Amino acid sequence: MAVSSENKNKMAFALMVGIIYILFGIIQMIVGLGLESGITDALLIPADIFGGCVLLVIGAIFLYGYKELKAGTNDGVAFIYFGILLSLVFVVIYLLIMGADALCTYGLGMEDLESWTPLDDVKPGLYLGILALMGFLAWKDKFTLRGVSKAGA
Amino acid sequence: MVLLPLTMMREGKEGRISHIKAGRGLTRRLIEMGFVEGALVRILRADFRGPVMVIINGSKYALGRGMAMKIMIDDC
Amino acid sequence: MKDNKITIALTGNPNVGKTTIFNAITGARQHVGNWPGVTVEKKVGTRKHKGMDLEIVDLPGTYSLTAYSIDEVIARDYIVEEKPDVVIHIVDATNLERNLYLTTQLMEHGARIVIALNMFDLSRDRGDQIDIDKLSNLLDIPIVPTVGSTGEGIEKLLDEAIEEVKKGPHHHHVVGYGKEVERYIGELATIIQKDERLSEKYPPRWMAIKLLENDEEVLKKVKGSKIESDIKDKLKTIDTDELEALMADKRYEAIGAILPQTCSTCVPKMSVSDMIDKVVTNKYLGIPIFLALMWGAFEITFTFATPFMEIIDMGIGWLAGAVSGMGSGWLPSLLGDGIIAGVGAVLIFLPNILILFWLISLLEDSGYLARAAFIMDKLMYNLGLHGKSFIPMLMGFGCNVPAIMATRSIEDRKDRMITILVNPFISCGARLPVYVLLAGAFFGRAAGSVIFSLYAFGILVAILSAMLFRKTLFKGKPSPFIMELPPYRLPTLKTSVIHMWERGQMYLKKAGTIILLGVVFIWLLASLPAGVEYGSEGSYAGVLGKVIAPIFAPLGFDWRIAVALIFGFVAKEIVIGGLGTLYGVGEDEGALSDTLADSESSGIYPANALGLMVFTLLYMPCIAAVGVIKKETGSWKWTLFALAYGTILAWVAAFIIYQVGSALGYGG
Repeated sequence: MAVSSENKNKMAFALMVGIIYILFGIIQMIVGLGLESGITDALLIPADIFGGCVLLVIGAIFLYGYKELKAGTNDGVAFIYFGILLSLVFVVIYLLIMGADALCTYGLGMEDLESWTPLDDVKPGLYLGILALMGFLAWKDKFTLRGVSKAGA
Repeated sequence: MVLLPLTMMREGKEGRISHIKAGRGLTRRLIEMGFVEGALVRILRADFRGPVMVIINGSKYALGRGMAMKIMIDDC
Repeated sequence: MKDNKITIALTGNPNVGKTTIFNAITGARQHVGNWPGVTVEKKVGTRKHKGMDLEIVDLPGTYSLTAYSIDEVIARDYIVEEKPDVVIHIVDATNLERNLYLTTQLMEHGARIVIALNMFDLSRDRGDQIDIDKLSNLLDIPIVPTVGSTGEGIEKLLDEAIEEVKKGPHHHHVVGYGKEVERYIGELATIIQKDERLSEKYPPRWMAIKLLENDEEVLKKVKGSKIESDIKDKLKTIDTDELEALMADKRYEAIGAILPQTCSTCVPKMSVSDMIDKVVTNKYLGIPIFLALMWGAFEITFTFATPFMEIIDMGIGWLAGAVSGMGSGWLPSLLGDGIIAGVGAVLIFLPNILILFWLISLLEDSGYLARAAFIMDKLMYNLGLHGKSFIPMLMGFGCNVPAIMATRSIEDRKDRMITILVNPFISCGARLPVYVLLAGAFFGRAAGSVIFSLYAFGILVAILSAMLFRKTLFKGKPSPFIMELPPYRLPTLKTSVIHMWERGQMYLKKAGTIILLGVVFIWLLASLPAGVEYGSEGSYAGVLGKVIAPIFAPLGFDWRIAVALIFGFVAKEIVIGGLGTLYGVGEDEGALSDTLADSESSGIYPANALGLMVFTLLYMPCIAAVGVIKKETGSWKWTLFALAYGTILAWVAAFIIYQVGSALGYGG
């Protein structure tokens, strides 16, 4: 089966984003195990094993989508869309956490967060979401929830 | 035409229900949910172990393996 | 119909939008979820329409009137016994065949019916063509297309319902079952007619059909009547096993004869739902995706709740300050030491619990939780449970009370009992502060890992207990698992918040009622006899502590810890408040932490502290949870069993930890 040019774009996107997420996921897990360095600090990678696992999962979904598309099954597209969705879900989660910390620091002046700055809550799960956002914007017409009604409908 | 339990069907295949080899309570339950003789079932998920997912009359169901074993399908 | 009052029952399959229609009619605020069987309690609303007073009763979703699960029994009993003036049968327009099966049974019972053809917009948008007038004529039932979410068709639906009541006698449009079965039905109906009491209450034809289907509930109704032996003799001559399937076939045949004449249904090839399912139930990725989402949910629950907890904490601190300004005496002491400290300790977890429940509601309303049950079924089956047991377990991390109530959707009694009995081992939000304080005081940098291990240990105990119960008390395999996977829906803020609130308010109610009583009782114990220092050795609490202290001595707990643990029966977080009182540092957790950490004077060493945390995790559930266990199991025997099992397990575990820990030099 010939791969359409649109699917070619998607494959390239999935391969690139998938590899980046997996790479950052692995690094974040290594940092979580206690191996820090100047580079990881510069990339704002926190010591967070579970957060690293999440990045791995997202990366794996993209790569699975790539694999399926390469094998010629159109199902692969579903994986790429879902990967984008899940990355954005985690962007929202990290933004909420940042908001809560900001509220604690500036609103309530909690002591243990005195030296907190928003940069403390910037992590790969957040800024890599920009890649997913690009994918979302590129194919956003495909995200119509045709056939998906609102709960309560 | 071969007669198979639902669990033996491959993912993505369709077949018609031939009969259900279960006790009355279970059979009744299945019938109420649309698993009647002759109904067309499509297998959406069937791993080597664990539950199977089927679509029948436009409704999706998760069936435990034990239950799916009891539903005999005409593989067509 | 009495005067101008009409009772209307709403019935229909699960997930057809019944609750939304109910809300559209009555304006009552309720939630719509995707978990089959959300509507467990009978909900009643009222509405005035065209000079009539309508009483609307929302029944649990059922697939048929042959009672199978608790929900279905409730629905059927209401229609059969209470005889509402008219039944509004809500039918999913996108899945007529299965939905009409229930219609045939309602017709058989002779109830007056109006059909609401719901989700009509979905069916229309995907190109279905339904000839409503023709379908209505063939069934001899008025049909009104509706869209629950926008309220379209609701007025007309009520018009038709009132019209239908005015029509008077029940209509007798029924399914024909073929010569042989019809002969049996006739013979049985003749016998039933001989008993006026029965035949007046239940339509004889309906009873005859149910008897042929071997319906146990209907057999019970015949029991003790004068025709019991006649019926039994008759049934003995009939092979009812054969008939049941035959009769169901005939019903579908009747539907099958009608449908092709009235509608052409176009089902899209691969819907968005199918695409999402491809991914989230993937063999390799399904479980990792699920775990990632769960981790995200807990991450939000614990971090996002912090500022709100802080605000509540400030409020409580302010109140306590105001009360202590009232001077000394019994009233400020009751308010400050008792009520504010006790109820405050519970209220502070409200943000945690509401956020976790809100996230669970979002997942549930979107349809994902049903998929999670599907993914987890394999694992749960090996543990002697099944997929449906998993959602109550998840909710247990918030609060065990709504979690135990959520087991209602599990049909099989054994499965349900096991799920209820092991649920308290899932570490609820109330136990976290105990861990945070003790782990922080005794394990320093390793505190996080200790807390995580406690959660994991709770899950492990739940799993092992489930396997044990399955092998001993509730022998047999988990009941066959079948669950409808509703299409994905976009959760709305409104419905998910309502849903959250329904569960969260159970927690608040508990704070307002049981815990309030409990803290007053404890305060009495700690302040009486008159004149003693609050919580001192001379108080009744101190005396009680001294009496039971020997039981706790092998665990390395002194009388103060014993008393605090008894206090914890009200709500486990009170263990902390109790310790604060008994060590004489009051509500200041920082001071309490420092006091306890000084092992020389407090008598608590790391081994005792770990034992205490594990004991708090496992020992008898709090009052509210015990109450709900009693309510849901309907048995004091099992409730006491849950109490005893947890407490003995806690004692043994703490004993081992303390003794081993001491032998290794971590004890006192």
